[in-house]
Amino acid sequence: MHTTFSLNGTGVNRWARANSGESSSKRAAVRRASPYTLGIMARKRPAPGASGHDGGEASEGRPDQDAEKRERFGPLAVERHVKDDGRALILYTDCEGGP
Amino acid sequence: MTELRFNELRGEQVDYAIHRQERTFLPSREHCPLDPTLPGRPPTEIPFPSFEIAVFENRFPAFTPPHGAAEVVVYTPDHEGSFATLTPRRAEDLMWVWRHRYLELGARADVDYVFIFENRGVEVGVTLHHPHGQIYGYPFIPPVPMLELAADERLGGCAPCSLLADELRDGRRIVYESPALVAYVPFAARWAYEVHLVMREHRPSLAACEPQELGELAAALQTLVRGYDALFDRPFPYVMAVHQAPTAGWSPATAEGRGELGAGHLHAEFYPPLRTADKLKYLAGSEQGAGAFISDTLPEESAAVLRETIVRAG
Repeated sequence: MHTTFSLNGTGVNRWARANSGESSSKRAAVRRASPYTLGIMARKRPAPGASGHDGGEASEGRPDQDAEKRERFGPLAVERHVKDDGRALILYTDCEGGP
Repeated sequence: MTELRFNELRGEQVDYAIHRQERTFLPSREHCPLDPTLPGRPPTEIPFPSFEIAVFENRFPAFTPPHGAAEVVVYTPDHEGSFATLTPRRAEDLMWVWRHRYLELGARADVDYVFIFENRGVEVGVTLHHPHGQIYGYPFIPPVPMLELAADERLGGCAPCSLLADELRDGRRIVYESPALVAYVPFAARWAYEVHLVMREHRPSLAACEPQELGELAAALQTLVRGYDALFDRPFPYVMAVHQAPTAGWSPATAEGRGELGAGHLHAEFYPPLRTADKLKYLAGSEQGAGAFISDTLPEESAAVLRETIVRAG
């Protein structure tokens, strides 16, 4: 059974928080645009490069900057790389023998 | 760097990513950046001589951390072909890749909505012909998913569940069915050959699907694209948009991370701009200035033609 979401709550817009120098009327407008009521934001993982980011784990998050890791996800082998310019590259390979 | 500005008149965010003006535009075959890097050939985005499926951070991103993400998903090392010509196994693997990216990007604090999509054809602005799609991790919930959440509230439950039930009762606009999925031209389609491919069961996201359902999803998507290509006997341009539950507020370590909160219902929407073999539907005065679509075709008639074509194309 699914649930529905309330659209009239006091939603949170992350961009609005990050730009707290904006006028209160603009923040209010942004809230109107994205009124998504949640309240468990603390569980989320920081963005790459954000303060306190730990570089990620093997099964989730962003790859380490200097390490190549090989993981499994469903039928796939997941191989993480970092390109010369610092961008992430992930290669997925079927490890269950499919063509 | 990118910058978000709020358009007060429209009540929407506009993303400024001005570096994208310089992005690679329809390169020659030998300079495709999505090919493998082969000896004696120019380096590409993928510095390996072979791969199966590759995902990398977009060199010209619309969103960057800590305000979202932009990734490119390369379906195959083969430059020619399309989603429809992938082997069934590769297409199914691609569903797992989507699921992986949904979970990983969705877990990030700066990603409220993971949007998987494919633009196919120069008619919809494709700049690289190599078979690929994209993923945006929006730092907010974009307007269209917000409208779907509003539809849930208006209809008093999951809107896609309700609309699917209506379509199954009517039957005239259905173009494809499998045990796990139904595809139909919506009752109020905007585009002549618009199709929504919807999970029969309420699955908020790819993460909530059974493995068998992912396989059926891949098969259904390939069947639809083959049907599209057969419709006018030409590669059929489209925008394909995968809609699923927003990821604001959840962690993959929790039940919410599997999309079990219930907001959203996994489905793919196809917006093809062709209304005949050689005529495009343009977004003109009424669509852009008033926000009201004017259609030249009836969904029931389009569905009949498309249904027959899908059967013929196999």
